[in-house]
Amino acid sequence: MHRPRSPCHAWVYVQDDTDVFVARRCSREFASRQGLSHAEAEALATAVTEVARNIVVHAGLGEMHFGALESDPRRGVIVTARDAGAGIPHVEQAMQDGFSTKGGLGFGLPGARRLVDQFEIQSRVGEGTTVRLWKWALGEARRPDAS
Amino acid sequence: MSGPGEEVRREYVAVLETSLQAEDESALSHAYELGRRALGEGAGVLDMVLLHRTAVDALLASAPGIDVRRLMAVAADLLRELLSPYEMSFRGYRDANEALRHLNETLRQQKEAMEIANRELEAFSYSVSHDLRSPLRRIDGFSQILLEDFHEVLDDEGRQYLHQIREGAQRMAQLIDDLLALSRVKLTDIRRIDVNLTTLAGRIAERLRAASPERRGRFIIQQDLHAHGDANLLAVLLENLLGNAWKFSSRREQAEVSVACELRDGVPTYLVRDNGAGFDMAQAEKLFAAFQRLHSSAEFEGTGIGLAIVQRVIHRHGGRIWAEGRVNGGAAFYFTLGPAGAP
Repeated sequence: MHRPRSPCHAWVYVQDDTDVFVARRCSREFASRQGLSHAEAEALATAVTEVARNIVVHAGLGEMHFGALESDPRRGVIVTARDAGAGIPHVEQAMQDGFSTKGGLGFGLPGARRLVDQFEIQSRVGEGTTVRLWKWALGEARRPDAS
Repeated sequence: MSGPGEEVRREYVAVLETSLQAEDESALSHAYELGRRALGEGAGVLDMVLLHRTAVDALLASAPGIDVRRLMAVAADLLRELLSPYEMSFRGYRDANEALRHLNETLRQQKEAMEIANRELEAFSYSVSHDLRSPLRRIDGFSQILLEDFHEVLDDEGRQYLHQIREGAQRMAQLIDDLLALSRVKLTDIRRIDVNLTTLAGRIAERLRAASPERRGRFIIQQDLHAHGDANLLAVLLENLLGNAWKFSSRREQAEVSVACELRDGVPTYLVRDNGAGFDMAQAEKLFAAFQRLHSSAEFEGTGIGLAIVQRVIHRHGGRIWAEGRVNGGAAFYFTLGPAGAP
């Protein structure tokens, strides 16, 4: 089977709600191209939405990079989100589910973490935050390319 | 769970309508936000499915010539977005539940370990107290024999010393007895029954009066006082509280000790009050600690364990105890016995 070996990247600037849509679309395109199942693609899109939303709400400005993961026989998507916001003083605490959020727990960054296969966060106060998401095509049979 | 707000319903129909014309990411994103909002408003998953169904029906009714296949595809995508926040939150709850279960297990293990350690400690102090008793009895006993059988051999000074030895030994025996009583309160299992406190307090009062017939004073015990608790422990409790009240009012010309019950914030609150030596409220927190005495032994004898026993009895019933007093103005002890279901 032919697999695209060439590096494949996309950048999205994230500043307002419209950029959240763009990031979501980008996440779906990469998911489809890398053969993620519907459920996997949706989980990634949801995680991307929460991370992008987080940038809009807390940092105001950032960028997201989408990359194809080619690690035979596995394929997947890696998303890197960077912002130049105030940074998170207590990352551990920020990754705890807040019951204070209206409507129950599991939103935001902790919610995003549960939807992907691997999650990384680095933050420096005054320098901003970097979040990395990995999602592999592991589930049901790959769907035929929709396009 | 309550249904989603009217605004969410209206917006969802609009999103569905727009998507039929041209499905794009902003519509999907909007549906996702609506799901997030509805979840925040307390709407459940089934509420969302119902909301979706109503929106599809409304659209079918308003546009008869609609492309049903397309509507189904678009509707499925939107529903998926509407429910995605629920999926995320569900995972959060699942994790939180797992964490709670783990924490619960840890707590249970710690509690078990603490109970075992406590029991061992109690058993240890119980057996030590027991072991201390017999040498003490020998000291007291042989001192007594010396005083009786060798009375002529000893001079006044020698006899005086022996009296002091006996006094010390007896005081220590009392201390050990009190410590044993303290351990017993913790070791025995509680069996709650209906206890007539009026009868119980009356019997104790009689005994106290009989022990010092020369004293003038009276016990005023409210009629028909009842409590739901362990009969033995409640007897220990009242013996200590009434004994204290009687002891610390011994300097009064006319001692007065009253036992009553009143409702405080709807909770039956028992009280034992006297007109005796009282105490300084600034020292109130020391009252219930073992071996803490607010009066010297010379002034009022005692080991300082009585109120520690009282407090344990109360705690074992899931109740609360506190005291009010004034130096030379009497003391009042208030206690509750906790709900009937308490351990």
